[in-house]
Amino acid sequence: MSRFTIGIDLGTTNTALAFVDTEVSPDNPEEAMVATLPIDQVVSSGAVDQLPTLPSAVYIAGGGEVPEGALNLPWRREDHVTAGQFARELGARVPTRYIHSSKSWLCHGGVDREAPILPPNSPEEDAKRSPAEVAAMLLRHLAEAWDHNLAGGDPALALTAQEVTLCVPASFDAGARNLTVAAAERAGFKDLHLLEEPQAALYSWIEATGPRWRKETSPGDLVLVVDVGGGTTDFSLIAVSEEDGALALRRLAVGEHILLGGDNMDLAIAYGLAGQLEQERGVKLDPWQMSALVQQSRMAKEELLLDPRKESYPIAILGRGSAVIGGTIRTELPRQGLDGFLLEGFFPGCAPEDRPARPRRAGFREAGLPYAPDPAVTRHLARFLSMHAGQVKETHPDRVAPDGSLALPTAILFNGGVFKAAPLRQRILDVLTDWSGRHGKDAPRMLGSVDLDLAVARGAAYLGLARRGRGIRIRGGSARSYYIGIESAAPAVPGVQPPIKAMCVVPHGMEEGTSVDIGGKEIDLCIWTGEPASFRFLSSTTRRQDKPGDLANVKPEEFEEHNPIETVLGEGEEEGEGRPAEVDLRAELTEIGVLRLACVERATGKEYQLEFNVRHSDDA
Amino acid sequence: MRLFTAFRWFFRILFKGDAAFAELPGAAPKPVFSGSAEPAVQLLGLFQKEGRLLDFLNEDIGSYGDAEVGAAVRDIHRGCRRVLEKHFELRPVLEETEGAAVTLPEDFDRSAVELYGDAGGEGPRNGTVRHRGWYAEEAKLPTIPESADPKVAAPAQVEVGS
Repeated sequence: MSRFTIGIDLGTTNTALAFVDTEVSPDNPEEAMVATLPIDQVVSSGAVDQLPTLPSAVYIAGGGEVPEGALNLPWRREDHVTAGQFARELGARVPTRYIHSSKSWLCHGGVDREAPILPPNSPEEDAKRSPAEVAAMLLRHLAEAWDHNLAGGDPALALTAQEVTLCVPASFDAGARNLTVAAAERAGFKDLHLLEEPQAALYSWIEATGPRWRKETSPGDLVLVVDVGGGTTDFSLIAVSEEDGALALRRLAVGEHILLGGDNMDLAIAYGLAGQLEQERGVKLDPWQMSALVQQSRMAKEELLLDPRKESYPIAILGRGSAVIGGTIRTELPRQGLDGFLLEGFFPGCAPEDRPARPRRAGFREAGLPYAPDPAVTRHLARFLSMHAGQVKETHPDRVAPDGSLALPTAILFNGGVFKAAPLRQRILDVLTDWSGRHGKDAPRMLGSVDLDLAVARGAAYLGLARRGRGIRIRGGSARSYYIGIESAAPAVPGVQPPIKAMCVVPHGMEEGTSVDIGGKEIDLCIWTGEPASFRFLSSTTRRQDKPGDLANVKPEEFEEHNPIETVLGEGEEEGEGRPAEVDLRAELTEIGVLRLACVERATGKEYQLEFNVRHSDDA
Repeated sequence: MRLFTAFRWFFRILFKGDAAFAELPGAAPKPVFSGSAEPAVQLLGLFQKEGRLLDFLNEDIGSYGDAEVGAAVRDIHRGCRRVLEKHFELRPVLEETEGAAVTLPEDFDRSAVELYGDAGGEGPRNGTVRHRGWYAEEAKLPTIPESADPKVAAPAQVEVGS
């Protein structure tokens, strides 16, 4: 067993690493010492410093834009690629060679995630990398920084030799999870596990609270984790119960993938101000000034949220040339404006019956990513709590509205840098208090706060100990059920797709380290050998009743369709000699947390992996 | 910042202190990070980069109104202050608040405290703190690339292809 357990938060905007030294930690895991690794990175031309997090940003130099030696790392010479803070600075100068937010692309089914597509819309072909490769680059940087500081040349202490828990959004589907693992394996990691970020936040809360956590929760509690990161919004419901006289935690439900985060909020404020400047004064900002405005918008947001007495925050974008004052553009962010952009735009009060708007709205979106069309986190929350009310009712009947329409948590845990602002936490709490009141339930309480920037990494490192039997684990299994689409026999009608039925291959809650076989007469699957067979692939976060082999009608509100999964049977057989082969299906959820699907030919017993197609498919 | 330093030392002692680990043989030589040969110019550069101080001091501000200067100064102040916080550890020379009475011992450091008024005589002196002074506990400038010209305080900026 490795000496350290490592937790890595590969965030949309920042990456962090936490660890536990099992040789130092006390035997009582509830007093585990979780530490974070200050990460060496280039912070300015030719200078390296250690920062608490590594910005998840990469810059690919074209050669000739930085002096020789500017990108060197303490452990090796480097003249081409840099990750972290200086990458961000270079990116503001040369956006076409700058890759950021690559994680948001990892779960974007509409693009080929293993093809060099980032930065999007860049003409610099040599600077392009795939989203999976960027994840691997960031992980490699972490490994090098760790080894430089802690391994001292001992291979047994190298990061890639430790037990590593890598966090992914709870809403990542099987394809995105598998890609993340593949990227980590490419970076050399061997002993890997995946963990949902909101669960990591709860582990971190347990770690930070210490043994007291058992007093702060009680059986019957229903904890809502609201995790608004730089790029994604993630909800999870975790139930506290009592089993054999001890507290047990079970993750009941996770939300859909919502591409909406703190970065959108800063952009919203900045574009709002830029729009005003242009309209009122005819001032057009160039990209350099725009990035300065985004920075200042972030500061204005934080200052105004921190100090409720301030009525406005002055913003000045200094002139571009050497005339500082002459070229300065002045404006201000009034409190009303902030409330409009932020509280009312992203966290509006709403009714539990409200739902996120469906149609796409124009606005502060960068081209390419399928950002959430409705920026209102609260409306997404209303939808989440109502979608999972049925499930909560089974274990926590008293935490569901009497009409069964809404789950009402007893406690809220916040995560993500956005929630450093108390008014935003308060707004979510107010909204949930209002909803609880409408249904005659007690208001939820806020769980003590965690370190909002590092909680995910810390929680993941803590879980490493729990996995060794030295702490409590959250159970839950697969957050989604998975299906393959089966076309039903129907007369062909031009222009009308035959309706499909969804056959369950992975049930909701399937535990890691288990597998299921789906076969027998009920399912009659036949594949033509020697040519690619492709299945439509669907998942659901709400259908928990389906067992492997069950058929369901596909209702769009319950199912999400992914890129198809593919295999070729009878490889090596002569072409044109294809024969129909009867197959069974096998689904395995590995210990790592990766989903493997295979066809098993009945006649030969041979197994053929069904590959997740991460490439874009037009007919999907 | 102090926490990081503590961490760094913690690990150095924990893992490197016994010098048990030799570097891997055959590895490429590690890059050298060196400070600027012109640290004063480099400091100007830091104030310029973060706070545009050189631009500001060299600009003729006579033609602008107080409001215009004030607005720009806020940003300049913020940037320059960032440089101070990042690269210096400053503390007052005297911990007493300004206006408070202070007794200086006989052997007080003449470079750290200036006397005003009746400065003659010997023995401990009683006085009033008019300015607490500044003491730079630590000054830490970043390294620069080996190929960089140390006299460049701020590089010119050229937009290519426009």
